[in-house]
Amino acid sequence: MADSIDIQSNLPLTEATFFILLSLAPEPRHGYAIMKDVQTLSEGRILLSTSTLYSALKRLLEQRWIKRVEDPAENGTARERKAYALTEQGRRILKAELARLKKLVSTAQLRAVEDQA
Amino acid sequence: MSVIVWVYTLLLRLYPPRFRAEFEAEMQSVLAAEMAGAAKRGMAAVAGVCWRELRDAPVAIIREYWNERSLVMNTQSLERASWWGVLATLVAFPLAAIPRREELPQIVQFAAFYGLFGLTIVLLMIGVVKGLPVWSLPSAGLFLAVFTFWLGFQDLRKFTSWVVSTGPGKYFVWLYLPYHPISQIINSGSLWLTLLAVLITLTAAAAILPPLRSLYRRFRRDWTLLSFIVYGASPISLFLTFDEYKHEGLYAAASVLLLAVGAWLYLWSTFRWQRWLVLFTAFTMAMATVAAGKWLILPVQDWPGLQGKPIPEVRYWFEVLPTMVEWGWIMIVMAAPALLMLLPRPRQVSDSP
Repeated sequence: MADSIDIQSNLPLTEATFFILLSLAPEPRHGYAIMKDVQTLSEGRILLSTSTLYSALKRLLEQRWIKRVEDPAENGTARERKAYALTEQGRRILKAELARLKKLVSTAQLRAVEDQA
Repeated sequence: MSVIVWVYTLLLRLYPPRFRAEFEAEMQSVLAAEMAGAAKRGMAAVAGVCWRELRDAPVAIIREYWNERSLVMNTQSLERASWWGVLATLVAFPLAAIPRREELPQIVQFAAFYGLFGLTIVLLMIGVVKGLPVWSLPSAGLFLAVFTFWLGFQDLRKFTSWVVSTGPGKYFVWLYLPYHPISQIINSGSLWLTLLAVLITLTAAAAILPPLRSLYRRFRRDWTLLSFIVYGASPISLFLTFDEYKHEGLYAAASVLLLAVGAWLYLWSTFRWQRWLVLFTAFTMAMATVAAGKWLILPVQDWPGLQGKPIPEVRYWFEVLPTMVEWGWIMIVMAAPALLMLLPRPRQVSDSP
């Protein structure tokens, strides 16, 4: 119960935070890959600068919604590069935000149907 | 392209050291990759990347300093200042003693006053960017007070005139008669009570607005920070109280020196009670010096009615009492932040990114 209250108090997420978490949902990624993926996911609408990206990553790390992992793309051949992955807490926050957005859309759709009728 | 990366490296140096240690190398490599990708798409894409970085960096830098400030707050018993911080704190205090120095050429007075004023503004701006560290609070208080007095005093006058002229206020007209002791006490306090109202509003805003919550948590952890802001505004009182006086230089300088020593000791105090005691003692001694100074230099003033005949004692008290009343009001406003301790503790939840 306390946990769910804590999650709800962190919603809604900012758009940048939402897309960063969404980008990390399938697999860990490094900074540049997150930047490009957010651009793709938002259909080019959100173009993150490095300062926005790393300010957000720092806060997500502090909140333990994401964690640092070894970059899976490196295979130990190139110099060490940091990648970021969702934590369990981060995944729960993302799911809660998705549920909130779904509810929002379904409410809006219901009202739109009522108006048409 | 390498020039842009070089400029970007300089830009990264503006971030707080802790942030740089953690992300600087990574940010550089991401920007280099971003620039390489943009270069393939043409100059417009390169310009777009540069624009985004320049647009977002100032806000991100300020935010990281503010975030850093709350981290420092969590790891130290009370906020301290470096030697540079102490020097920056002391810059604003002499401002009250410089004007009306008849022994100095006007150009020197002008240069000293506006030089210090400009330096105080610059230091305050650096302080705001760095999340209002403790050394910047007195300058913030000074400018807050100037702004409050300029803005609030006019409206307060209008408000009291309206109260007096309407409804039950007409039965209390005697409170606002010029030279009535209670009227003088109210007028003297109105400036400082307006500053208190502004501080309460700002504290409430800091409690509500997420970007300012770290500031609110700092105030809750050490309420004397708010007292220190009021203390920073107190040189205005010295400035106003010696209005129309001549030969007050020695006493004005001594009281400013006492205030500066108080600020210096505050920054090196370890406990809240020590901090409060230092502010209380230094401010009381400064105002006592002002009061004593007014008493001693009254006979040498060239005001009409004072020359050529003995000055009655009541006239001395007439000059000194307003300073004592002003001391009382400022002490009330300086002590008021202690009431924050009566409020329930704020939740320790970090801000949303």
